[in-house]
Formats: sequence, C-alpha cells, structure tokens
Amino acid sequence: MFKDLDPLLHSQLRLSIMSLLISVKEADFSFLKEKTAATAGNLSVQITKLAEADYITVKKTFKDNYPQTSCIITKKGIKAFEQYVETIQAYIKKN
Amino acid sequence: MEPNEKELTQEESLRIIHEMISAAKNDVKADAFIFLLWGWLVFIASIAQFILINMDVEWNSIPWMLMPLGGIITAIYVFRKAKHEKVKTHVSEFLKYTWIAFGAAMAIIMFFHQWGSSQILPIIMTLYGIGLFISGGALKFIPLILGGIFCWLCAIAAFKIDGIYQLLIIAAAVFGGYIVPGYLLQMNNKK
Repeated sequence: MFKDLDPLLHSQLRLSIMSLLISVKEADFSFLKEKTAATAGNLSVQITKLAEADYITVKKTFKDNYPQTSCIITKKGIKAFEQYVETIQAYIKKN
Repeated sequence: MEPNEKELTQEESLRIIHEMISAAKNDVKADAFIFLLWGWLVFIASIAQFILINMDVEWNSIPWMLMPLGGIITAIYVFRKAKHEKVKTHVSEFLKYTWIAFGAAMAIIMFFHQWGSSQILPIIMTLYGIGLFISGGALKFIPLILGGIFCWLCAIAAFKIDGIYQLLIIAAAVFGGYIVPGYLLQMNNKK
C-alpha cells in the first residue's frame, strides 16, 4: 500500500506544510508553526527538506531587526502535491 | 517517511490536507477598519458640504480636505499591518490589487475631471460599487456585495439628479456601501 506515494510528502508535518502553502501565496515561519502546532526545531528540519527538494522556496528577510523566514510553494511542489492527491484518490477508488 | 513516524493511512493523509487547507482559508479576513474609515470620512464630508452650501458658505468644498488625511491614515495603517502580516493569501493579494486599481482610477478622475461637472459623483459611486462588489465576491461576504449593488443604484439616482442633492446620495451610498457592511464585517471577524 502507498508504494507510489512521494515519500517526501508522505509525512504528517511535511504534508501539513505543503497543504498550507498550496492554499496561500506566501506564509511565514510563525504562521506554519501556529497552524501545524509543530515545534520550531522539527518544523525547521522539515522546511529544509522540502526546500532541498525544490518543493518550496525559503526567503529570509529582516522585519524590525528580527530575522523572518517565509515560504512559498514552487511549481515543482504544486505538481508533486497534485500527484500525491491523485495517487491517494486512486487508492480510494480502488478500495 | 521518517524512521520514528508511523505510516499515514489514506484517510489520515486526506484529513491532514483538508484540515490544513481549511485552516489557511479561515485566515482570510478583510479589514473592516479601512471600510469604516472611508465610509465615515466621505459621509461627514458630503453632509458637511451640503450644509455649508445651504448656509451660502463660499469655501463649501473644504470638508473634502479630509480625503488626503484618509489617504495618509490608510497608507500608515496598511504599511504597519504589512509589517506584522504572517501570511499572504491569494484572496488578500487579489483584494490588494483591486483596491490599488480603484485608488488609481479615483486619482485619475479626481485630477483630470472637468471641475463643476455634475457627472463626477455618480462616476465615483460607480467605482465604489466595483470595489465593494469584487471584494464581497472574493471574500464571500454578502453585505459587501449588496453594498456594491446599492452604490450602483445610488449612482443611477445621482446621474438623474443634478446639483447639491447628489451630496446626500453619496452620503447614503457610503452609509449603505461602506459603513453598514464595515460594521457587519467587524462583527463577523470577531466571531
């Protein structure tokens, strides 16, 4: 079961991050942390993994002298997410 | 899949996707402050000019000096809010461009129209209607859609009526198009 699913997306936190980012234009780290209820450390690790796969772009800026990280889903990320949803739907239809 | 993570079932995957998309969607909130600010400023300016004209005051258009003040307050408010914004949604971006387009159209009309034209206020009300109707549709907030339609009806009435009574019509337009939906939006955001 689930052999064809993208292993990068088939994880609770990474799937949560991608689902949030597909719904918005841009989200900062605190928004993702609030919505996923994940720890900062874990969230940071998973964001890095998604960025390394080019599924998301991470922008680091400064706001009021504080560093700010914001994330945007890439075209590759959108395609991977759509593929993941299609695969899940195919499984549901089969069962 | 992480070594310490349990395998997600298809139902769990779908639930996560659904929950997160809903959570992001619920974050779309239009700001009632700007609707109320402009609603009250235009309402006060139009009623004040109507009274001043009836009192035969020469500089009766003075109350419209409130408009640049509104522009400054809006610019400061939007700038400060953008600094603390955690997320940019597609709807919020769409609304931003809609109202920038509205502002640009208003500026062109205000600077280049023929002074003393009786068409200016009905045209402004038509523009109000466009901004409100689009915002209401994007936010799925019926009072704003109705407010936009109300502004268009006021515009039709104002095209038919010349003179100072157009000022009362624009006051009614902003009351029904901005102030009432603005307070309803404020109540809705608090829910």
